[in-house]
Amino acid sequence: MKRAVIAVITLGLLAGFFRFVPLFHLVPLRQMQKQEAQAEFTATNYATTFWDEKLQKSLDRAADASKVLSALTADPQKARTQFGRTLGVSSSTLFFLRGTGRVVSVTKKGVVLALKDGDGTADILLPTGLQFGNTVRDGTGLLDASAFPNSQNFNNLSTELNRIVETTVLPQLREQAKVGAKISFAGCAEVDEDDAGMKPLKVIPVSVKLESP
Amino acid sequence: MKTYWLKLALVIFVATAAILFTQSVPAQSAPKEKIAIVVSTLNNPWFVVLGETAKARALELGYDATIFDSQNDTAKEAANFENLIASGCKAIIFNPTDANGSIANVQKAKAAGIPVFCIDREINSTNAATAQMLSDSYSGCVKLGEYFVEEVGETGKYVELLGIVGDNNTWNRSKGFHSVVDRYPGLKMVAQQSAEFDRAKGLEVLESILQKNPDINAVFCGNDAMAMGAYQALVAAGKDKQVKVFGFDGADDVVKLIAEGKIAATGMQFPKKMARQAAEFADKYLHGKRDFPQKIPVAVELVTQENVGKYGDYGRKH
Repeated sequence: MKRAVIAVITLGLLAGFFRFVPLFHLVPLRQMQKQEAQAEFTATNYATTFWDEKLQKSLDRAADASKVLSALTADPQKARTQFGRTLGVSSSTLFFLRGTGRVVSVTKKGVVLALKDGDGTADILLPTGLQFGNTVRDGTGLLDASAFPNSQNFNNLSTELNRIVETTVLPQLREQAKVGAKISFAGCAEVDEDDAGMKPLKVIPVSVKLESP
Repeated sequence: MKTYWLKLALVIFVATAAILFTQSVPAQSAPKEKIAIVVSTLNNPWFVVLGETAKARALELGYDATIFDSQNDTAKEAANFENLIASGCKAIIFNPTDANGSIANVQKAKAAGIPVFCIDREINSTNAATAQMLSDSYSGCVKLGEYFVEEVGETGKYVELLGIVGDNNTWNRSKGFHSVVDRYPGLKMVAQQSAEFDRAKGLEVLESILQKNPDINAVFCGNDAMAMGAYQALVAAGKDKQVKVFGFDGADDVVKLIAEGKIAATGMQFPKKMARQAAEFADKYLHGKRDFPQKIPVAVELVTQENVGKYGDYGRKH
């Protein structure tokens, strides 16, 4: 009888313990899918906040596009150190740059500008099509991969930032881009060591503005 | 005078004997410090290169280095960690099997005062490993996706072979690829299935998919081992000329097949560069350095039939 009482008490204590410290959790598949969907949603929110609160308020940190282009032509290595940044181990350099130029052509690839301080030839290509990759996310130097425990979230951020470029900046650019128009821009570029000095430099715009002629 | 010469001879004798004695007795060198290299699997040549390169660099730096094979099994990986912590290992170069499942092993090592340097694959934690040197799989597959659209066109049917579902690289590659390809509604994915980064499974899975979908235009594979398996399946089905295969890793056999025009493209991951750097990080840690960046992305480069001449031996040719 005494043993039975001890066994019941022990079982009760164990049940109570595992009630608060369970050995495993059963999670419905739908709940997991919902959590994953929320994670995507977080990336959207994060991207929007970053875009409005940080990126758009940091455009004055961008390097002068004319100086970057001249440096890339003269001494690519120096241009990288002076104006660019390399993420981890890579043969590419990222630039955050801004400038003003006149539209010299509008092609399927995008809007081609000659910078006001340039020689009148095509200096910059502002692409107007679909945007892919991490150039915008990494180009400004405002985000750090080490702050994101799961790289999938960091990569989702790229998708969202590219979406913002496509939906807010590019329609405005397409509307303003007439040959001869004067446009101010800020944006991000990625230059591979094999392509340094090649013009026009592809710059994904994060801001465009039509200037008076 | 005689005494003087005797004393001088004695001094010379003792000095010579002392020099000869110290030279003839080998110096008792201190035992070398141990560095462990824990690799997710050695059943894939790419990971063998990763592990062997890290080991070679650690040996060059003067350590006793040993490779442990986790056989893609977190339990085996945990056992490896228990053993090497108990054996007095000073640093671990780690290629995890599971982004979440491997965190506990890294934390155990950290609690034992052993630094862990992750290579190629990450763990979903930023406060367990000392540093993580990771291939930028997402960007690499964005480039592959763009090239895929150029090569296959904006319409067509394709199959995706995924890697291990618990590994972040699987999803970073898949998401990078889909971030491009999904923007073209004419490109239809008729099947998406895991072949667990394994060549034999790649062959088996694609053979089965081809039964139901004989009219595909392309196969995108999350690694080169699966791409090799997929290519074998296509050869066996007589479809290797009409179906384009895209891989990821930069494995030597795939780079050779790209040069022969049999595989369309891959992403070069530079395993040797990552492995050497990780061994050097471990060495620097053991010499007192502590300020390592938590995540160090390693760029992935697109290898195609146009630029394949620049690549070989798991990297860029110099």
